[in-house]
This record gives sequence, structure tokens and C-alpha cells, in this order.
Amino acid sequence: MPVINPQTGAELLQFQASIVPSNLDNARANLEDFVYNGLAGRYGSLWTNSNSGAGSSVSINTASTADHPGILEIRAGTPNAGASLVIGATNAIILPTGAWEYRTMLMLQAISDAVNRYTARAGLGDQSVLTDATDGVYFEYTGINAGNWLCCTASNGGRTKTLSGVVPQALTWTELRIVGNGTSSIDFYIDGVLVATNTLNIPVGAARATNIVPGQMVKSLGAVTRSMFVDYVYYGYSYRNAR
Amino acid sequence: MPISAASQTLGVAPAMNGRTGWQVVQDFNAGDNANLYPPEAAGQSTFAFDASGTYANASRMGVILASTAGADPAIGVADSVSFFLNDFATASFQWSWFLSALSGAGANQSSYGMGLTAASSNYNACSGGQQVGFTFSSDWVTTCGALLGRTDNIINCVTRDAVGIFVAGTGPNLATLVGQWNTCRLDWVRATGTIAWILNGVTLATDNTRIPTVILQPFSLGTTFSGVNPADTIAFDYWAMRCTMNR
Repeated sequence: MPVINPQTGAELLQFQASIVPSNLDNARANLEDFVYNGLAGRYGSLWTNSNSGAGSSVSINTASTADHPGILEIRAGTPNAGASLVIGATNAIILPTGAWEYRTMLMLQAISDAVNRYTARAGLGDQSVLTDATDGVYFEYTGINAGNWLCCTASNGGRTKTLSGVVPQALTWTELRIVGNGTSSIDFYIDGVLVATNTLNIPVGAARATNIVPGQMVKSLGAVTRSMFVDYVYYGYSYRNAR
Repeated sequence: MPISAASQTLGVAPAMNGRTGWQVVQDFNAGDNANLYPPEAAGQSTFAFDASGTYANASRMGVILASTAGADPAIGVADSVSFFLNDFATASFQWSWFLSALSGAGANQSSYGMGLTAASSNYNACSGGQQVGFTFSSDWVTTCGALLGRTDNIINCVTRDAVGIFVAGTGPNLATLVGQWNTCRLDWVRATGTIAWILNGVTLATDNTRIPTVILQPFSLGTTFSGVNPADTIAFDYWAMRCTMNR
């Protein structure tokens, strides 16, 4: 492994060189891989989770999955209003004026259909467990709208939801990316392919601050639980000016 | 930003793309890790950040100390990051340690262990759960000696799965490492299913036997003493982890 050179005794210097971002003054990158020892540990201080309805839960999946260390399961429970949400502890993100990126890899347990209907969301938002975001930039899936992932922007309750042309498959890892460069347009990517660009209802400014949403699941029909599995969440950004 | 079990809580940003891998470094800067490394102690054992300057210095900022005293002391410390080894294509774990003195003789014999261990338990090759690491002293005759098949101070490279314990190789006598900083490293390679044990840059063993299959946590220390009044200190400068994957 190239991270360490014990023969030279220079490992600490090498660590420092590799752990400090080269442009810390004007950029940050944050990765959550959900690799901690259960919900009682670091989870509580980093994220807020909320549930509604019997059987709704948030947990760390304990099965080993090669190349997907640490998996967060967000489960909407048995009643038709069962729901779970995981969101950052505070609304801390004012959409950067420089470049930024939200990225996640997630998997849906089952598609949303006329028997067990649910809404899945992931991205930036300010929602509560049962609601849509007032301010946000996110992907949404309901099973309707041709079964597409929807590419969404929301500002002060006004929303734009664009068809992606991509229908999710059950039990299939999917990479979702949201990329902004400035605040005039937002690009949405699914598995590396640009699927939509939104220019309306982009939340801008401190009054429209959002937070990172690893996932939200809200049931609207049916009596069977439905889960979203989140492998990781990444959020990186740069400032227009160095600080 | 409320982000990253892997990085934010350790105070560093990931240097690698999360899709292909990441790394973390815990440098034990005082005051920021009390909840990450909850010590478990018995007897008069203590766990503290070094404020004396005995170990921490310009080259070793942020040092934690695990000290033992009193009858039958024991101490353990572990990080709460956890994973399956098989999650990673490759993974490397490294830490630096300083042992003040060999354990006493006779009634004050002791056993040390460091490495990766089953989540929520501290490393103890002699009685713990699934793990992989170094057992630094096997002169605790009553348990470790019997398990490992030796009662001297030779370092053992140990794996343990649900079936049992395995000694993949041995290293130098612990007496040659006392009173100096040493570096341990474990390298995992999924393609071969192997762990390599590396001490101060020297590979002591590479093996794929008895590799643990449960959730593990890195950098776990366990010491147990059978004695009446041993008084040893182990200092740690840092631990680091780097992993790669193909997601």
C-alpha cells in the first residue's frame, strides 16, 4: 500500500501530505461511508433520523457486501404513511457560488407500484419525515411519472421536477450525482450520464439553506415495508474566492 | 458540516474519491477523541492523553497512554469505525506504539494485543472474538501461552475466526522493542484473501488462514495482566487506515 513508507520513518509526513486537501482554503470534500459501529456511536451527532409509522426504521445493514462498506438502510414501515428520513443535523448548506457536487450510491429494495407505493428522495433538502422539501436540490422517485427518477429543485416551496428518462431497477446500485457551478443551473447525472438540467426554483441564499439528505422513504399505499439502501454520500464544493 | 464517520469525526478530509477508496488518520490530538476511543479498564488502569511530554514531542504530536497498575489490571481501547474486511479490495492499517517496559515476571506476567477485532470488543487474542493482529507478549502462561503454544516474549502474528486461533508467523522478542517507537501494519488483499503482518517495515508473515468474517473495528488494543502489581504504559502516536474498492 503506498500510503506508508515504514523504511524511511516518514509515515507521518506522508500522512500529512495526503490528508490535507491541497486547497483547503477554498474547497472542501466530505464523505460519509456509514462505516461506524452502529447507530449509537457517531451516527447521532452527525445525522438526524426520524420515523413515522410502525416498522419504519433507520439502521446500519450488517451484511458484508464487497466494495460497498457500510450500508445505511432507510425503511418505510407497514402502514401507508410509514416513513423514515435521514438528514444532516442542521440546515447548514447555502448553495455555493462556486462548483459543488452531491453524489450518492443507493439501491432500492423494490420498485414503487400500485400495491405498495412510496416516494424516495436523496440530495439536498430541508424536509421533515413525511414532507417534500421546501428548499432543496434532489432526486425523487415515486413509481409514477413513467417510473422515472425525477430531477428536482425547490425554492421556498416552488418546485421544478424534471423527468430523467431513467427508470430505477430494484436491487441495483445506482450512482446519483447533482452538480452545480454557480447558482443559475443544476445538472443531474445518473450512473455518469447527464439526464437533466434545471434552471428554475434553485434555492439561493441563507434564507433557502438546505442540508444533506442521504435518504427519505415515504409510503403512500400498501402494507409492506420498503427500503432504500445507501452506500455512501459525498458532498464537495469550492468557494468562488479563497478564504 | 455534519459529515463522514470516516473523516469528519477524525478531523481530516478524505484524500481519495469515495468511489475508489478513502483513508483516515487518527492522530490523537487531545480533547477530540474521548468519545471515539472509550477505554475499558479494570484494576487501577488508566487511559489518558499524554500531557507530560514524556512521549509526545515535536515529532509525535498527540499521544495517548494506556497505563496499568493494581491487581489484575486490564485496559482496552478501540475505534468505533467498523466494516468487514471483505468489503475492501485492499486495506491497510497502521499504528505506532511505545511500550515502557516488559511485564514483570511470575505473578506480574502480562499479555498485550493490538489489531482489528470484532466490533464492540477489545483486542485480546487470548480470549476475545474474531480478530487479526499482533500479540506482543505470550508470557501470560495461564491462557495465552496455552493457546499460542509458547510462553516466551516472541511476537505472534495472529488470526482468529469462528473456528479458532491461528499463528501465521512470529517476530522478534518483545525485549528488543521496549523503550522505542515501533510501527505495526496489517495489509489486507481480497483477491488472495491474505493478511500481511509488518513490523517496523519487516514483513513477518502473510497468510489467509482463519481470516475473521465478522464486522471488525480497527486499532483495538487489549492488555491483560495476571499479576499483583504490574505497572506498564503503552503509548500510541497514531493509527491510520486506507482502503480501496471498486464501486
